[in-house]
Amino acid sequence: MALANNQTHIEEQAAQQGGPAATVRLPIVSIILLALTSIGMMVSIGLIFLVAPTDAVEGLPQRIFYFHVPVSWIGMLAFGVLAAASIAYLWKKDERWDWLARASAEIGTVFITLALVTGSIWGRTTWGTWWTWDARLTTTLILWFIYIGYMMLRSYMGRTHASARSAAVLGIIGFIDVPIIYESVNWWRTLHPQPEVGTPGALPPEVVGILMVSLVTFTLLYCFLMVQLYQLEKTQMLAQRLRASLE
Amino acid sequence: MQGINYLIAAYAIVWLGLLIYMAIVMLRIRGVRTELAAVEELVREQHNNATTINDNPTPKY
Amino acid sequence: MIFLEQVIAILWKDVRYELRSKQMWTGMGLFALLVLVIFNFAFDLRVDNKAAVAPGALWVAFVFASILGLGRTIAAEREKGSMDRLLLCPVDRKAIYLAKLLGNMLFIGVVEVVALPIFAALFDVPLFVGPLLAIVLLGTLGIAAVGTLFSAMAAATQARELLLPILVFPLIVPVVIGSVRATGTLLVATANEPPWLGLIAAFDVIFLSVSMLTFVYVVEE
Repeated sequence: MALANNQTHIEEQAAQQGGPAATVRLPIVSIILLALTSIGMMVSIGLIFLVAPTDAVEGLPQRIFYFHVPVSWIGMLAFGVLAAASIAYLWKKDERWDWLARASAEIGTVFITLALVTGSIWGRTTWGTWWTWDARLTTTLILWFIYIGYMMLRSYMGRTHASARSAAVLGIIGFIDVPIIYESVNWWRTLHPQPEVGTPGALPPEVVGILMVSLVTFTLLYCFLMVQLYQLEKTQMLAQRLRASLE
Repeated sequence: MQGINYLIAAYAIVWLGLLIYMAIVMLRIRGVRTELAAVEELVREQHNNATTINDNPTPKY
Repeated sequence: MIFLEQVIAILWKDVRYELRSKQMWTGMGLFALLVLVIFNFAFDLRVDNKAAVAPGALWVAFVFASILGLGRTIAAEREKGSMDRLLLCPVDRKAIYLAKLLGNMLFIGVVEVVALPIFAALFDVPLFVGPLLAIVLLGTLGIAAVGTLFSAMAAATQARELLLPILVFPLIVPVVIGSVRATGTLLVATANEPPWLGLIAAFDVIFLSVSMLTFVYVVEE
């Protein structure tokens, strides 16, 4: 009798957490986000290639800016979310914050990788070199290493509470460190001025407008991916728990 | 002239990268859902086994 | 006061253990010296360029030796299981962290004390400049503060020797930049140099506090 009750109870729990309610809610939010993102992407591409003014100095490749900046920004945002979720996890001890952190870490890694690649290509067009040790690109590289370190730590430690806690600590420390790293590289750079990847000076309003559209689009993409990965983490945890309860 | 090559390369990389990543994520979600369904099936089976045993309890002395 | 006593007690235990087996110290010392020698071959030091390369060589040696030392202490801990026994006692986790930190700094410090004269001799640079001790101390503190926290983290994993440098190196970039530049300024005075020592000191204060507070989350089950 005890065994039967046990099983029904767990099934009920599973139904409550990841059952009909959640799976019905998921597609709607995801579909809306995906639709908005797609529309945004098409609008952005149109604006970037047809409407945006051509830069007098750099010419055509300067338009990489319209993708590079949002992608970098999302990489930073993802790190901020990771840090916030990490603090929340250590404080509340609710594993859902850990799912959030993991999701944001994975997405952030992807975006920062893209930021590095686009930044490198852009630098190549402006300065002729594939890499320059300027403050922004270097800090992006260090951030990439921190992201990779985070993913490796999670991979090695598995899906345990210890893994979540240690990773949360890493996230917090990394977040505090990044501004310091940026400043120190900046100071270092002033001694040996490096070619800088970026558009110096004030930007004309059309440029800012198009940049904003692109930024919003990528933020929507980030939200969409976050929802997907969060659900992925949740489902994975559910499956793992259910499987454990079998034994 | 070379500039436009780099421009197209950069955008192509970003697009392909993101699309491939989204595809990977969708595949993973599908995989986990299948696994969850399988485990739920196992749980139901065990539940049924348990109840059928209880329907015909062995006599207690 | 109880807190300080705990720190000293744990520290003394570790130091006594390490004094018994001299393995680590000699290994680390030799390693640091080898790095310096290899730097000589790698950069073909001549009188004119040594001022540029020497500080970098010194700090690369210190950083790598530190990572080795950090890895070894925690690995030994886990093997003996003494960390688990320590955690069973009602001792403040911050005290454990501080004791580990001081222990690590002591070990790295011994290596540095040995390496510095050799460094001065090999590279023919003046050694006993006052601020040098401050730079070495603060720089090592920065590396050890972060390193002690993450060595506890990495110790729980299989690939701990690999994971520790991967986690630590990116985070100590400000300390490395600052220490190398500060040492460089000592050798060759430059104008308009940013306040590197201040940067390292700020780094130390911030990460010492954060590490001390978060250490409990890393070691506690």
